[in-house]
Amino acid sequence: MVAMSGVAGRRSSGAAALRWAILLSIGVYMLLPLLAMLEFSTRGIGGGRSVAPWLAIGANDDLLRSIRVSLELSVLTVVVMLLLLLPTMVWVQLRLPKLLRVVEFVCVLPLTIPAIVLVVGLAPVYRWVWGLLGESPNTLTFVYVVLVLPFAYRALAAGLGALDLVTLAEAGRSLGCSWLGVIWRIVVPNIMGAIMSAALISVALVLGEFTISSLLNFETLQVVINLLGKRDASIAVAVSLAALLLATALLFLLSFIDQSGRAKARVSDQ
Amino acid sequence: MSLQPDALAPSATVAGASPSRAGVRVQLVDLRRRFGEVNALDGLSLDLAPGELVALLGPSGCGKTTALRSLAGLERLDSGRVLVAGHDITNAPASRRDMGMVFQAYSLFPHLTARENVAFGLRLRRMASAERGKVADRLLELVHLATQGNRYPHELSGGQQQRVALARALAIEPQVLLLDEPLSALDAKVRSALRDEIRRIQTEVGITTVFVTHDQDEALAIADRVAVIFAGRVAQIAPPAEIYERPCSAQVADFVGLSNRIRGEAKGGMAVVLDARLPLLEGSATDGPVTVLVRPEVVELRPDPRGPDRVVTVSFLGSIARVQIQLADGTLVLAQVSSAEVGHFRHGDAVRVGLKPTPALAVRA
Repeated sequence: MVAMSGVAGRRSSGAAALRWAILLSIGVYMLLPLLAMLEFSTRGIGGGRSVAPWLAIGANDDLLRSIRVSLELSVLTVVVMLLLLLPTMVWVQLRLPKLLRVVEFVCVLPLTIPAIVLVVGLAPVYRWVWGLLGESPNTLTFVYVVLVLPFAYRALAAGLGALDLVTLAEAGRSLGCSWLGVIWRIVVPNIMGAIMSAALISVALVLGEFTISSLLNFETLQVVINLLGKRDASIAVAVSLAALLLATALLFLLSFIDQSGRAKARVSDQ
Repeated sequence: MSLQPDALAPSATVAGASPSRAGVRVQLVDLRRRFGEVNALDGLSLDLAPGELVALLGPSGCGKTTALRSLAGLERLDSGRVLVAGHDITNAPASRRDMGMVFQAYSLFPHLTARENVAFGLRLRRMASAERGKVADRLLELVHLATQGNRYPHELSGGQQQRVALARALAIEPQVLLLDEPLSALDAKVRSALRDEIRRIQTEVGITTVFVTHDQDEALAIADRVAVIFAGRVAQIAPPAEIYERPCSAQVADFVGLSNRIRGEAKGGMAVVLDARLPLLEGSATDGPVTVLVRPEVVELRPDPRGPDRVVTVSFLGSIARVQIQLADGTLVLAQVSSAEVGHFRHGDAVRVGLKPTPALAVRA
């Protein structure tokens, strides 16, 4: 018995060591490039350290404007994506389940089309869009919604798949809920985590998108970073790192909001 | 569409404040619904008296759930009419039918506590928060879950979840209560307790109720009347005792309870079977060789060393026992005896089988 527990103990400590080794490897793999970026962006003249490139971010009007544009685009993309995708997915699951595969195929399709091909195809459409809505960078929302569809679809589908949507919707309807009420009062609160995931991945994608905005001549964050990189690589790397940290912070923020919302609901009920 | 004008308005006498309310008459008239090649409803008609509890009983796929869903507005009809309190609601959406429904699957909203679930329908009706809370508490008390109001669905057992679902359905003071196999996911003991509780609450509230089940014991135990449905039509609708004792067809007799099929001879409104003369029920074959359907409790069994029949098996079922006997002609017959008598019968014993002279159904042999 003692021998057996000894073997089990050795196995357990071996497994723990393996877990730590894997965690450490992944940590180094993820953090090393970030540390390298930090090191590069803080290199001063004569081998010293300097925060001048970081301070320059706040002084660069083009950069600040591009950050505002990209953040606006992120919000618009998330809003339009959710308004378009969520009711469609709920409706298809409830009323047209035979179309589930078709909708999935359509949503995943943009993943298989290179951005450059998208732009070539969208250019004539955008001429019409610009004629109608003006040449605002916010018109990029339309193409960004298409770009985020595959990722947002997967996140929302996972959330909806965890619910007995048909029964919950029927229960809501029998209690007097309209279809919109079913989505707003029953579906949304129950897939908040999935909605957060879809929103976050959309924000990350919009903040990091370069090809389309560049080819359509809009100065989004990545386009300006690229231009800056040609003039001053330190500032460009500092902005890239800041954007990455911003996306990470957003991830934690959204996760925190989701968690604290649930906790508050629980506490207020108890 | 002719709904009551205040169908979704807050009620002054909300359920729970005084859980009694006169039921309404419900009529399903010639309902028809086809799914591809299958006729789910094939001219189904039903008429429920105010405050009555009718169980829709039938095998899987017979159309009982489709009928209930049509009444709830969750299923589109090809033709037919649904009338509640004389108003035609055939084309009214589910959200405006004023019906409370309990589903077979657990249907509580996972993000809400038990109390919030019960209050959900009242919130839609814009009832003030304080009053909503009071009504929810009273309803939870009615289903014996007053202390569980702050629990989330995943913290409740299956039986508790269905009780909350029942309270939620009753909270909106619906005109009709619809129960779609609400007990089928529960274990036997909880099922029996909740069945009695549903009946108690339904009687207290006095609401017209439709209860769908495939479990004959459940239907017979809970309903004022049982509607036996086959292939989208009502085969027979009658009080439980009548359904059991006077089935209108062999199909109903076979589906509701156990039936022995014993050969006999019909003549002049009587059937002669195993030397007994049984009065024939309406719808029976009246002449010539027949197969008579006989309930196990009608079969009399006497230990007799010189008897022509043999005991095959004995099944002890608690308060009763069932004895399977092979008759002299090879026919297998089930007899029901009390548990006190069960010791008199063992495998291979010679016995003599007789029949009590109760009315029976006979079909052509």
